[in-house]
This record gives sequence, structure tokens and C-alpha cells, in this order.
Amino acid sequence: MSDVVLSVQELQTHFFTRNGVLKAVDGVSFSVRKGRILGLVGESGSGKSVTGYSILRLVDAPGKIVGGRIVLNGTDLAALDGEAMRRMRGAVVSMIFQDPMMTLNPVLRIGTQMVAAIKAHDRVSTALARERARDALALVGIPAPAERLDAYPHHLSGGMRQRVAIAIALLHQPAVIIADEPTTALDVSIQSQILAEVRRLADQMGTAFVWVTHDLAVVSSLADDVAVMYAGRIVESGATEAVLAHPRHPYTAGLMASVPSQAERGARLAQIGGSTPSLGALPEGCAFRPRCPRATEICRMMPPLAPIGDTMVRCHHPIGEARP
Amino acid sequence: MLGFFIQRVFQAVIVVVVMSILVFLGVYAIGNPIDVMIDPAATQQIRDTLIRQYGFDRPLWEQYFVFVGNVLQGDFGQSFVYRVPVLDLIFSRLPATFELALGAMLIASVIGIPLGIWAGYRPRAFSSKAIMALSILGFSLPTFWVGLLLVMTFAVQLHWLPSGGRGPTSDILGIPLSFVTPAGWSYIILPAFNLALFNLGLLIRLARAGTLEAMSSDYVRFARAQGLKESKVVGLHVLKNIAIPIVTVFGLEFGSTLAFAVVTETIFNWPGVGKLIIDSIMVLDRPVMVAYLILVVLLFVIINLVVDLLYGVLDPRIRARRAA
Amino acid sequence: MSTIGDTKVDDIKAETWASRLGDFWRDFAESKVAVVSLLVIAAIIFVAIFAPLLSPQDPYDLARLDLFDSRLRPGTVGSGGYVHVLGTDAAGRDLLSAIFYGLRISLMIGLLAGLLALVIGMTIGLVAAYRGGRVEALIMRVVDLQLSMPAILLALVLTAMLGQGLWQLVTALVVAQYAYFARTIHGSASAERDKDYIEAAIATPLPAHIILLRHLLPNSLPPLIVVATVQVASAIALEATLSFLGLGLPLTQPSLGALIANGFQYLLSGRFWISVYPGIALVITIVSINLVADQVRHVLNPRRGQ
Repeated sequence: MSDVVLSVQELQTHFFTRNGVLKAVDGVSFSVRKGRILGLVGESGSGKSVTGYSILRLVDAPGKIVGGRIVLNGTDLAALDGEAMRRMRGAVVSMIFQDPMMTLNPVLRIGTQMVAAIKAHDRVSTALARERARDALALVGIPAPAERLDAYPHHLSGGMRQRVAIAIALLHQPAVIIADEPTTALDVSIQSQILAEVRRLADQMGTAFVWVTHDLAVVSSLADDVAVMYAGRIVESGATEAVLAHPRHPYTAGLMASVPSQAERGARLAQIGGSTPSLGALPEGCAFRPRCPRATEICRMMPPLAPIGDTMVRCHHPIGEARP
Repeated sequence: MLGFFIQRVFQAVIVVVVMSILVFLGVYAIGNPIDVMIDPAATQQIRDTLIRQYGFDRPLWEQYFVFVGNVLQGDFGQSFVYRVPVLDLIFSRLPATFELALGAMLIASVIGIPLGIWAGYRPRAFSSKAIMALSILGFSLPTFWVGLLLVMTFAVQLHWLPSGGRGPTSDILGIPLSFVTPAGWSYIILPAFNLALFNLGLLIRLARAGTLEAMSSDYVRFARAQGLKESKVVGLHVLKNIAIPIVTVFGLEFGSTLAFAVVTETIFNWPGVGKLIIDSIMVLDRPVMVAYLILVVLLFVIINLVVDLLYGVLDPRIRARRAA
Repeated sequence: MSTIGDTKVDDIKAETWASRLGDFWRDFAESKVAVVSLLVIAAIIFVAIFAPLLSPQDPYDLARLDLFDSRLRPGTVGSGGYVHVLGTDAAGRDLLSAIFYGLRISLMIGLLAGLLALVIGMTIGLVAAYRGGRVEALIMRVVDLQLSMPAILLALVLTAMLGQGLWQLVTALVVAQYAYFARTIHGSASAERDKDYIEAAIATPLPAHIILLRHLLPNSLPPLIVVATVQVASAIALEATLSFLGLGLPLTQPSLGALIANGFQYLLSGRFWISVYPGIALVITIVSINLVADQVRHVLNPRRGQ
């Protein structure tokens, strides 16, 4: 597959805290092709957001990337020096964040922030930069974009602000955009508008997305591929239809059973028993073992990520196979 | 809005009236000014004449109303010592104090804001801890003690700078100022630095707190994800965010700096209002004390009023921002 | 039966208090600077208490002072036959003794003023928070106006009005400082006031002072401790400044500030020790207290991140 734009290999990001080393991301691998959207799914604390930040190398101390490769268009980002990495950010890989209220600076005009983002990579006049900014706003479907340049963020609605953030991320037409739950804070109707917009941009411009989310409904309507994370590792990955139609890992199945739309009306929603383990005290072997209905003695050993049908699964007892 | 305005102005007027009574009573209690004004060997007859002339034989409340009546006509009386109208005396000393206070604020911001930003930008660095130690010293070292050390080091030991006085001044718009000539500089630099010390500590803390907050914000993370240079992240996003609180405090602290000049002016023999009031207290020059105190009360009441009203004006915008 | 129950509750309370104190100390001791500062403060208090035993000379006994001994350099042997380690001042006082006694006075004034300001400011702030309405508005307006002025100005004017003397000085310091306590306790108490348990307590027929003392006060205590520490240091500094300006205590019993002022005129002629050594003692005292206060503030900060 020659059109792979981003390939993450055995990424490890650890947090060195006073209470020990927390392995937030522990050997994560995936790849994304041009114009495709990968849904990175997990509960909070699963390491999905840290994976996103790691790709841009924006993990705050005491977090640190300790291993693996992040190959973007043939360049290993993990090996770049600080200035070279800065040149990549925004230009080749960019990011949008969860809360559209917080990602734009409240005391700077939209135009000022966009011009700064353009001038970070291109030596252009302010007038020209403003034109490009205006075009970018129009591209993401913002009405009267020229006037919006002089607005402050608090003049805009949440959905509009997230569109502005997407426009900023798109300014330099990056190959990949990492999106960290960008629609979670929005109303459902606005959310679906933005998702449709993102799908269109991915198809039209060929931008690849890594869509970090806890919401399987978003993944099913948006993502081409999906990777499910649990406790710093990928437990299942594959094409979205394949994974969602036949979840193999008990954790994926549990997640799906707890989505309301999947359940019968009036029936009790299924829950996954127990709670997400703290990264400081992971059980040995499969981290899901204490909560898993299918766990046996062998689960005390870490299962490998192995192919089953069209998907990759990290489980000794995947669903669809008889229990021993 | 108008009701709020009228209410606050009314409150301010009441505070000024009450304070003027307190000041009058307090200063009256200090002692008999006649003893200071005339030769102890003077006859009882001369004493009585003078007492009657100044109205000291009248009841206190009557003296107060005569005083208020005069003040309302802009007459604070004559200095017992200098034999000139008190207001003229104070206004002739005011430029020196203003210049000193402005110089101090300038030094405090030019040094304090960059240091504070650095300490907030790299909170764990050794240099930042040293800066914070400096700010604690700025807060806790008594001004007079630092002034003393400055005189000892730069005037007595090194002979670099004069130990006190104002030196040559040049008139600008009829106001005598020191900073125009290099010789004037050599006189103002030590006292201005001395007076700056407290504000220096304050500004370091303010700038550090604001920078810390901004650096951990999503909009700085987003700006970095766009590939902005660190200098731009700090120079645009952080600076703009700490500007508002700093400007506010700057305005608030200017009054305090004027008043605090009392100590510095005494040490450096700086011919400002502060030196005047200390000298007047020593010789019980009652009219000067009363006028100075009432002017100070007026100054602070006005500062408080302006701040109150500004908050009143800003409030709807802040509310709108929260509601949005 | 109930006694057994109560004892148990008290035991648990005592245990949590002890463990809380232990936690506090562990967090506090994280800063070596703060621990050293605490030791320095302990040493200063020791010196202040036992000044008469530690000093080579009684600096207040004017009859024993010899003008031949005036302005001796540090390390000179005076007519008393002993070494003046830190030299002597213009009146022939042994500076080391004068500093020990001066520390005593400065510390006493600082603690006295700080404590009185605490009690008065606390009462005013609590009453304002509890009464609310016009009383609160009036009190807090005065407090805010006062806080916007530098304390030194107020203290200066008050000492000028009240005249010289220990109690006049303490009064001036208390009036200049109570507002900090009032503001602090008013802030935390009025935040507590709006919580449900206080409203529940007010709904019961408990007398007002019980509600204030049992419920509002304990929860407002941590920030008050910090302010009190800082204010003791600032009272010491204020007193020194006033004495330096000639408005403090009479010179027969010099505080550190008066000693510094005393030596100021000799500074320009190079006799630095008369001013500088008392100044160093003053600065060490103030900075140590502030460093301890800073760490206490850091430890008590509820938003303290990991």
C-alpha cells in the first residue's frame, strides 16, 4: 500500500511521575492511508489522546515518548530535532481539540490567530495571509468569512468555533489531521454537520484523519477503519464495518453492547463490569482480564495482536471461537 | 448603570467627608502648633493673639467648618514653617515624586515582566526558582534597608552615583524633570530602583501566574500544533493574556507607589511630597499634614471608584462571554 | 453507652488530626529552604527569649555605657575587657547585645500586633460575613479602601497622631493591618456561608456565636494562618521602617529599626557596621518568616497539582 501517509510503529509514551512510570501508550501500531479516516476508540485513560499528542510530539512533561517510530510521508517524526518538528506541525500534520471554547485564544481576533498560523510556515504579507484565512473559513462552510476575521471567539457559537479550528488546521493542507474528540462538546445536530464536512474534506482534499473518540456512533458514521484501545494498547483493529459487525475482542463487544442504539428499546443497557484499571496498577497479562467474562488462566500472559478474519485481535479467547 | 454610578459616587463622597473629619481630629490631637510656630520666650500676650488669629480658641467643630469652607475654595491654609500656601507647596514638590514613581514603575515592568514570563514558561528551571526567590526578597526586604544598602554600595563604596538629592533638572512644559540629562539620570536611578523593588516582586508573580495558566491552556497547545515558533506563542498568545491583569494592577499600584515614596525620599533626600510630609510630621506643620492626607484619601478614593466603575462597565461583556 | 460512642468518635478525630498534621509536615518538609527557615526562626526566638543571658552587656543600662567605647570596629576589645564582635554604636553599646535585645523588641511588637490584628480583623470579617446586607457592604468598603493604601502610610500617620510609645505603636500597626485578616476571613467565611450545612445550622436555634465559632471559623482557618504569618513579618518590617523614620519607640530601648536608623548617619563615613549588622538580623528574621509562610501557602493550597 503505497498511499500510506502516516504509520505509527510500536509507539511508547510513558509518564514519569512521583508514584512510578505510567505506560500511557505501550507499543501502539497503526497506519492511515491518504484521504481515509481512522477512528481511535477507547475509554478515558486508555491512552488514545496521548497517542494523538505523541504524533505531534506535544506530550507535556512528565510524559515522554520513549520508543517507536512515527513515519509521516516517509519521515520519522520521532527522530526530528525541535525546529524540524515545528516545521512539520501545522504544515504536514495538524491537530484539532475537544473543546472549541478553549482552543481559540479568547483575547485575540480570529484573523490574528489565523494569520499567525499562516506566517508560521509561509513568508507572505499580512494582506495575502488574510485572504487565505478568509478562503479557509469559506472552505469549512462559515458564512460571511471576511467579517468573521475581525470577530473574537466569544462572538461565535461552539459549532462555528470548531469549524474555525478545522479551518486553521487545514490552512497548509496537511497530509494528516489528528482530531481529539472534536465533536464531543457539541450538540448532536451540529456534530453531524461537522462530521459530514470532515468526510467531504477528506474525500475532496485527500487529507487523512486520526479521529480520537470514545463514541462508537461517531466511528460507525465517519471512520473507514477503527482501532480500539484499552490500557495503552490496541486490542482490536480493522475496517469499521468488519469490526462493528463482528467484534472479536470481549472489550469491543462490551463497548458496543453499552451503546443505546444497539440495544432493544426498554431493555436494560449492558455494562462492562468493573472499572478501567489505573495505569499505575495494571494486572499482569491481558489488562482486560479482571473485567472479562471469558478470562481464563492463560490470560495471565499478554496475548499477541493476531489476525482473525479481516481484523486484528489481541485476545486468547476471541468471540466467535469456542471457549476451551 | 446610571444608578450604579450615582450610588458609587455618593459612597465615595461620604468616605471623603468621613475621612476628612478623622484626619482633622487626628491631626488636631497631635499637639499645639503654636508651640512650634513661635519662640518659646514669647510673651503670653503674643501667644494669645496668635491663637486667636488662627482661630485655635474656637470650638473644634467650628474650626472644622471654617477649614472645609476654605478647602472648598481651594484654600488649604498656609504652612506654619514655609509661610506659603500649602497647596502651592505640595504642587511644587509633586513633579519630583511623580517622576520618581513613574521611573520606579518603569523599572519594575521592564525587569519584572520578562522575568515573570520566563519563570512561568520554565517553572522547573533553576533560573526560574532563582527569579521566584528574587520576588520573595522584593516583597519582604524592607524598602529602607535596601535603600541603605544601595547608598552604601553605589555611593559610599564605589562612588559611582550620588548618595542623594535630585541633582540638576530641566524644565519640560514648565515642569522640572531629572530624566532629561545624564547627570539627572545619575540622581534618579538609585531611588527609582529602590522604590521599584516591591512592584518588581509583584509583577514577577503576576506575570508568572498568568504565563503558567496560559501555557497549560488548550489555545497554546493548539498554537503549537499549528507550528508557531515558541517566541510567537509567548509573544502573541501569552503576552496578550497577561496584559489585562498587569495593566489593571499597574493602575492600582501607582497610587501606592506615590504614597510609598515617603520612605525612599527620606533615604535619598529626594525633594518630593514624601520628604515634605515626613519633615512636616517632625515639626508638626499641621496644615501641610492635613492637606497631604486629604489629597491622599482623595487619590485612593478616586482610584477605587474608577476600578469599581470599570468593573461595572466590563461586567456585561464578561457575562456575555460566559453565557456564549 | 453514649460515652463509649463518644470516645470512639474522639479517638477517630484525634487520629485524623494527628495524621493530617503528619501529612502537613511531610508536604512542608519537601522544601529544604522552608525547613531551614523554620530552624532559623526557632533560633531567633530562642535568642530573643534568652537575650539577657546571651548578651555580653545590658545595652539599656545607660550607666554602664562608656563613650570611649563608641563606634568601635567589629572585633575590637573595649573598656569592658571583652571583644565587641560586631563593634559598638555611637553611644558605646555593644552591637551584638543591642541586636539581641532589639530582636526581642521587634519580635514582641510583631507578634503582639499580628495577634491583635488577627483577633480584631477576624471578628470584623466574621461579623460582616454572618450579618450580610448593609453591615457587610459598609464594613467591606472600608476594608477595601484601606487595603488599597499602603499600610506604611496609615501606620505613619497614626504614630504621628498617637505619639511615641509601645502601645501607641502597636495600635498603629493593628489599625494598619487588621484589614488583611478581615478581607481573608470574609472571603472564605462568606463562601462557606452559602453551603448547605451552615444554612442548616442557622435554621436550628443555635446562638449566632456558636455557629460562627464552630462552623465558619474552622473552615476559614488555613488561609488565616498564612496571612497571620505574613503579617507578623510585615509588622516587624513596618515597625522597623517607622523607627527608621524616627516615629517608632524611644531610643532608650532601640528596636532593630531604631538601631539601623542610629547608624545611618555614620554609613556615609564608612562606619557600616552600626547600620548593617542590625539590618542583617532584621532581614534574616523577615525573610525566614516569609519563606515559611510561602511554603505553608503552597501546602495548604487546595488546587495544588501533582
